[in-house]
Amino acid sequence: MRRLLIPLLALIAVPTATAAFSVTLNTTSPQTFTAITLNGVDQTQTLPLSITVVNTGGTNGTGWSVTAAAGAPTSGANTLSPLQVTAVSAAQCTIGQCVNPTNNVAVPVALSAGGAKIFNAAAGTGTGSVVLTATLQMTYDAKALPGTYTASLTIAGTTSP
Amino acid sequence: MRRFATILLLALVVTPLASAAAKAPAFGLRALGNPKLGYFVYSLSPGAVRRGGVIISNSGTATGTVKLFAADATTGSTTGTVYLTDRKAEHAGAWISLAQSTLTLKPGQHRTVPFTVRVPASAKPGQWVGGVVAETSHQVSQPKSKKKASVRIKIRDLTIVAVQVNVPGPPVLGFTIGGVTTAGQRGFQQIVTHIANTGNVLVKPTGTVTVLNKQGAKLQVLTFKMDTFLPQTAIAYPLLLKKALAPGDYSANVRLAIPGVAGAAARVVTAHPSFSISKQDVKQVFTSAAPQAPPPTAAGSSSSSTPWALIGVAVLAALLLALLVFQLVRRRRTPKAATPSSVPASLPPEPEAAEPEQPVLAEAEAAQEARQAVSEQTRSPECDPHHYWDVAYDRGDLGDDGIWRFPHRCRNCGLELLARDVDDATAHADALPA
Repeated sequence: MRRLLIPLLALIAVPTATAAFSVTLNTTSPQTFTAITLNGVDQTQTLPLSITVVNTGGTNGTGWSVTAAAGAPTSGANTLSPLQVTAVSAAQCTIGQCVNPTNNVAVPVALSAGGAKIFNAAAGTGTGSVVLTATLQMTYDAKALPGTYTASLTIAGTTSP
Repeated sequence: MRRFATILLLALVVTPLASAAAKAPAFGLRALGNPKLGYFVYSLSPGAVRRGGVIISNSGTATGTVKLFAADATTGSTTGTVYLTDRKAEHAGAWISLAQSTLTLKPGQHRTVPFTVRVPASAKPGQWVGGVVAETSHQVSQPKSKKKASVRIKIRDLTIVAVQVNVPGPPVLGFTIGGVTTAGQRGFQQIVTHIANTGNVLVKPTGTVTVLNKQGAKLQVLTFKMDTFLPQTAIAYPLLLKKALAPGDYSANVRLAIPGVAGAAARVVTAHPSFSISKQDVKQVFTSAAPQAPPPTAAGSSSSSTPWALIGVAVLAALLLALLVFQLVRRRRTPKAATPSSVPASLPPEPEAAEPEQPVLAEAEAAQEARQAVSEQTRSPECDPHHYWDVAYDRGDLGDDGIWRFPHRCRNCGLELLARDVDDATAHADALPA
């Protein structure tokens, strides 16, 4: 009987223990915006970012949020305008009896090194797995100087007050 | 038929290998013993110590290493809790010590990592927030592109569980409202209010910003509902204007309603800052060009929590490949007379798609020449070779659609029209009958 009990307990314990909240970037890093021809007027490029948020096991009493932080792209002493998140859409949730997230974060959101929320799941929503697609926008000012610019973007999923 | 069968077999063998290359770990985090809230809330006096734990799991498809560390929380620019993960923790994050800083897990494996919260003896009463951060250590690199990069973005993905420490003492509700400025890009004009939580508790204020003109007449009222505003933090809070404001002098009535918390009554904070909008500010918002086409989406090479989806895609790709090969084999076997006229072998190969090898400035010149060549053929002789627009930003006209349009006059042909920006003007000019 004991032989049977241990595997049975393991089966019960494992789903509880592996219940987790995770945020995974499906878009590879680094991402490169293709070279743009500077022409004296403001120009933009966009980049879609795919993010999978998995929230299983908990009752999700406070919901969750996805934040993004990025300093303005720099090339030596030259700086471009801050990156912006101009849209975030959520696909239909999957995994079990999932609940689609209810989002109340408005876009566009200009990103700073400090960070900002770009999407959230209100309390009681956002269970299961959901794939978000965020549109990252790069703006080249009319006065932007040519060069190869770099920036670091941090995407974080949090359960917080 | 034998060739077709061989290719199909090869495709079926190779496809799983290709999908295997996309394997990656996916780390999840869970607050041990807090399944409902999803994060930790401890009431601890100065000098107190409390132990907790986080469950780290790998729900991905490959073994990986996760980096664990603690970070300070702050208020995000649009409110809500965000974490300062690119610097050493100095506040509540510094009170958290994790038993491990890295952890390697196989797919499906999980481990509990203990942590200790030590509240310094000098800690002041209030609600202070830090976080336990899990960061995937590996970075999947994109295949190297020959294209000349202009902006390269390195992306990190983190999962964070909050650790809120309530240090006992009287709650203080305190907010200050600073100056107001405007900002925005690409047609979105924003009013930005500087707000600081000078108290010691987490609150979610609501409020209004009423924009007044120089004479004090009400132009528009913006209402807002903030997310969590952490104590002892300050932000520049942006609100999208319903209708754009022209250059000039304005003022704003800012009203912030702070809900009461246990032991502290609700209160309202107001301010009446003045602000100005310059022609340059308006120009910055409204002279942007149309967006460029987005670069190709990167394939999802990172983890997916459902490998079956990948397998499904791989099988589908294999079948499509097989179908393509089958079609090719069939076409080869049809009589030559039925094939379309063949391309001469002497033709040079097609250039590679958009591989700019020249510096960006050189590209600009080349593109300019190309545009000139096109315009010489298509533009009216009066505006040969281009329209050169002079824009009167001080004479903007706010349309019923809430969009500002400005007089544009071409230096070459004298054409005058109202447009949002130079691209809009050019589009209108091109649409005019010759």
